[in-house]
Amino acid sequence: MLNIKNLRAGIDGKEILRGLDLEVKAGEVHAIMGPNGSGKSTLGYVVAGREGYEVTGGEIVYRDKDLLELEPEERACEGIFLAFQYPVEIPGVNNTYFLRSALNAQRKYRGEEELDAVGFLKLVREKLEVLHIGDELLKRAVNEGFSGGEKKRNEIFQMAVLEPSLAILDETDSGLDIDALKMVAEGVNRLRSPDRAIVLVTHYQRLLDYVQPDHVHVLAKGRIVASGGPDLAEQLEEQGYAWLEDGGISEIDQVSAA
Amino acid sequence: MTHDPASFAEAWPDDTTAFDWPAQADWLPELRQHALGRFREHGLPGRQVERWKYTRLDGLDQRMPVATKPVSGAVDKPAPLAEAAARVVISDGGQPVVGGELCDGVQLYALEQALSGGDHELRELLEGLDISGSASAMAALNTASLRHGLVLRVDANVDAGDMLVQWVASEAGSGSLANARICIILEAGASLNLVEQFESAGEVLSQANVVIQARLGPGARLNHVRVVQESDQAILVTATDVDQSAGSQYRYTGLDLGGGTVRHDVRARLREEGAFCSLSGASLTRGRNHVDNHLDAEHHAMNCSSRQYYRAVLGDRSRTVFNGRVFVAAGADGTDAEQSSAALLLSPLAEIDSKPELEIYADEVVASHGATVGQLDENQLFYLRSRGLDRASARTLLTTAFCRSVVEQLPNERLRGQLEARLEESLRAIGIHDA
Repeated sequence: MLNIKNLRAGIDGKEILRGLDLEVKAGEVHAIMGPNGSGKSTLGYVVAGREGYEVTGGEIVYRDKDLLELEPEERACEGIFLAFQYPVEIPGVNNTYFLRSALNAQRKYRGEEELDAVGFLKLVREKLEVLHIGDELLKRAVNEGFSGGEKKRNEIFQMAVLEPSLAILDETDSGLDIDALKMVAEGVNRLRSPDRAIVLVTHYQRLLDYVQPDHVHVLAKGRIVASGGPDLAEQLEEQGYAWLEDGGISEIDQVSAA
Repeated sequence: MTHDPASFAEAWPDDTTAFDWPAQADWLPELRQHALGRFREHGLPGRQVERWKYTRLDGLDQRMPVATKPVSGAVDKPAPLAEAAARVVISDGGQPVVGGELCDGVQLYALEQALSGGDHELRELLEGLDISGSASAMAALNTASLRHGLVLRVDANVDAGDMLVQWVASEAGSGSLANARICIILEAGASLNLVEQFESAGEVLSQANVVIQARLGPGARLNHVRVVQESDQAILVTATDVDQSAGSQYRYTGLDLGGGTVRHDVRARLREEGAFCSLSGASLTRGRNHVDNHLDAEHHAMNCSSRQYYRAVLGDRSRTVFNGRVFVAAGADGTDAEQSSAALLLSPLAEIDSKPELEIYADEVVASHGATVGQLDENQLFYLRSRGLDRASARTLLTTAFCRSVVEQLPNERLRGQLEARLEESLRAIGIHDA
């Protein structure tokens, strides 16, 4: 579904991703872990198409399309969803109106009929119930005055409504209490299906207690330095990232080879 | 073309009695004559006048034939206004036409009719308008040609409900300046929701000079909404002067959605303790539109509060002027004044001149002001696009939200909905292209 080869990208002339390779197949859940500054958020932004990030080498192919040729909204309409680490507050734009506009833009792109207000509300209530989110969220402006946890819930709620083919969650788990964390996990697990893929970008292993990944990767200094199964995440949790710095990488390579 | 304010003023006759006035009160000729003198002294306000330095009325000068004068000649009998009215149409600044129902305790007269009687309070109000300075030349001209307009009185503790005043320009009226005056007197505890609509069919050359005077008794409430959606050739000058007694509330919401040259002066004089005013507006300009808002909140008594809130969206080569003035007189302690203005420039050729003015002579005052000018927030744009909205839709959504904040506080839900729709329509007309 997603094939990233030798990706080099940066911002303001500073290279952050230095030859990153990643392949994600339909039906899989990948976790990308790594220390601060390793390029985790940059990866999410480059896939979503944020302006200001410059790709200087490599390629990203998504469902046989050259992703780098597409506008951010086209990527969204093609089924890519980025849950932001810091969701943006948009005063004056109603959450429901925004989400309906977004969903209908995507449906229109795919040649599907747009949902009217009634049909949309029905869908939304269904999703809210499943995720145990109160409907006061619908009346508020997008993320305005939301607590950190509420913002993350709103991201998951949007993901549930938009039903993307490829969801990238950028540290959606950080700063959450256990209930919110479970809700995020619930959202991800519900989205899991043979024709969808999910990439969890995270600093901690915590979320992976609730969402079992198929593959775990370690990102350091702009490259995937190790890949393995769920055990790799546990190892990182126990040993931290410091050992990556001095010769630990070969050790991980052994793990991933195992 | 050259601009000579003096020639415009000199084109007027020396003596206002030259006009064919209908029956009138004996004090009126003198007032008109005095006002004409003031206007002739100053001429059209130009760049030399600080409050007018960004806005020129050249167009008025060039387009006005020398013979321009108040509508005169054969006058229809003053139409007796219906006892009850809720909707008034004023064409080319002429006789108001009234329809609908007014409730008990509300009296509405054509100004012309009211001027023929001996109404002391009306006289006091008309004579009380400040037309002394060069910045008030247009108000002086309005007084010099006092004839048409409305007088509205609401008795104590009566809620007059909603009233719509539609200002319309016609082909026949184009080429002359429509001068009109509305006088509103709200007795103690009375309230009124006034909606003014300046809108002309087609590309009519409308030019109007409108003055509104309101006197709010103790505890009275006036909600005033003004929507201007005129053609690119239109010239509109309005001055609104509100005199506020103790505990009275004045809320002004102005939407400037179209018009070649539009100038509003809105002045609230908080004359007695505990009065409140909220002066807010949004302007959406395109082409070569020029909109100038001068909002003045004057605190003359203790414990009054004022809010000024202004949002501008500018496209093409349009220009917007915002001058928000807060004056706090010596002794007006306990004043609470807030001011906020922000502008979005959608085109590199558009221009905003934003000027907050705080003049504070009292000691215990809480006053704040904030002004921003900029483009749309890139983070917000990317967030919306990452969910599937194309760039144009994302821009429209953000820009609409920016303007909508001006009407958000309006209590009348239906009106608010209509205004929001107008805002969106006007934004589409500006064209939310890449800036």
